[in-house]
Amino acid sequence: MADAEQAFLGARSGNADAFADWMRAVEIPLRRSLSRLAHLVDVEVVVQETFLRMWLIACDRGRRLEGDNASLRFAFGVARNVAREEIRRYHPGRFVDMESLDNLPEGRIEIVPPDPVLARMIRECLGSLPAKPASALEARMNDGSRPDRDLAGSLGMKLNTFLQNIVRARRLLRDCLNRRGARLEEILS
Amino acid sequence: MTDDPKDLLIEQAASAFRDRDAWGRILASPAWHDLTPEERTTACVRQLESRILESSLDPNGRSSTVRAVMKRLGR
Repeated sequence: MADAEQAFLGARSGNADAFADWMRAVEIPLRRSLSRLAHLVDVEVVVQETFLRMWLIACDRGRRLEGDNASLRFAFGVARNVAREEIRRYHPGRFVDMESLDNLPEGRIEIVPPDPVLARMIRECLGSLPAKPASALEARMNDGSRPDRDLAGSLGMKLNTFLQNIVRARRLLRDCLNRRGARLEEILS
Repeated sequence: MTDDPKDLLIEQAASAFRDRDAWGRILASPAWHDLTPEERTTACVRQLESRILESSLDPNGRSSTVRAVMKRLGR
């Protein structure tokens, strides 16, 4: 099974698919680490900006990252800087101990393929939801990089109705997954 | 439907879409600014939950965040 460092090496030749694999492997550990700053920064911004900067580093032939988990350690450093910039932007004068971000996972981070059992359960639960909540949540999950207003419009919903449908769908999906033994709280922990 | 308005803001902040300013810098979700510190932490958990669900269903295991970055890279 490939790991994050192999994927990052692959990305160095400008291979965007390898970089996507690297992001897949790093995203969740990075989010978990940043969660302790979630009251101060929009973690989504920090993660996306970190990935964009790491792509520039991957494409920089003059730069070589060395050591165990080099790209991961570097990404956590970049994330720390981005978070610091965001805190300066939104909370000027506030001091935050950034060393608390250095919560690197130990060992290799493998690129795990999607869990087919979990995917099947999610699909079955989505299939059991009322039509409108299901269509709103599926639109968000399939095309979440588009603005909610656009997704709502494509479904003929107002933005507020779209969001209400997603909230309702999430609640029903969570209940359905819990009944099947796939507790989201455990998956998240 | 009678959902808590705060829950709608948290859901808005859970989206992977982020606007950019004139210099291309990624902006925090407008909804995120309207949340209390505790609600921002809840939004972060909602983001994590969303990304796990999205990557579980994507044939290539990519979350909306990964897809947003790939789009930004022009891929």
